[in-house]
Amino acid sequence: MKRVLLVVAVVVVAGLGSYVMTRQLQPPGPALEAFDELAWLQREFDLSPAELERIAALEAAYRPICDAHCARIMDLQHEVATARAAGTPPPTDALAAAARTCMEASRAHLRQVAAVMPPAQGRRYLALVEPKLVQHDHAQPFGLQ
Amino acid sequence: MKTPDPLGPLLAAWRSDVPADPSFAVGVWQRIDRDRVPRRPRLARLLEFPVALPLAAGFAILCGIATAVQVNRLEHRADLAAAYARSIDPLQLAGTPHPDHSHLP
Repeated sequence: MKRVLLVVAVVVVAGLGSYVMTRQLQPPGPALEAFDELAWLQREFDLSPAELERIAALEAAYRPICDAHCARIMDLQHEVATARAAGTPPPTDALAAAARTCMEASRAHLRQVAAVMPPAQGRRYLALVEPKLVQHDHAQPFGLQ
Repeated sequence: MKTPDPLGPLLAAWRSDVPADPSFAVGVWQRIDRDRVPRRPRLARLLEFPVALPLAAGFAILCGIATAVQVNRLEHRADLAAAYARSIDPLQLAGTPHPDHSHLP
């Protein structure tokens, strides 16, 4: 019985120890500035050059829309802050409506990109990325741009 | 001509007049039980081998490493997906709370 307990203890310690030590080798998350979206998409979803080219075109077409939405949101945030400081009613409804429009545009863009991929990869892409749009990071600094 | 073997009729006519010892069978089983070694579980018997401990430890280390590598890979993939989502999501770029949340600025 002692032998069994000894083996169990060694197995638990060795397994946990190797797990914890290997977890320390986790590569750091990518910096937003250095992150190459297209390279990641091609690597992660095994895209052909033709698919990558179509997705690059979609990304290029969406970029100004995204920037415009971002600018609109930041303007409204500024207006809300200014109105609050002045004691006037803040345009929170307009901000919420703009945010919803942004979300719908982002989701539509995701679906367009997914449609270019092979069906299985497209489903995996949506499953992986779409929740990241919905899950908003409350700790993110204001006006990251 | 052969004479008939007398052993057959003698055996057929033989009767034992000695009463059987009633404790005989019990005594036999007691002796058997005394000598019987209790069987241990198979795992316990396997662990008696000298190499069992290093083998089990090595297997546990491999499992720990494999699990951690898999978890690291999944987390790294999720980080990359989050970075990608941030790059195409105006809400995240602007650092705006979710519109369905009640604590809009």
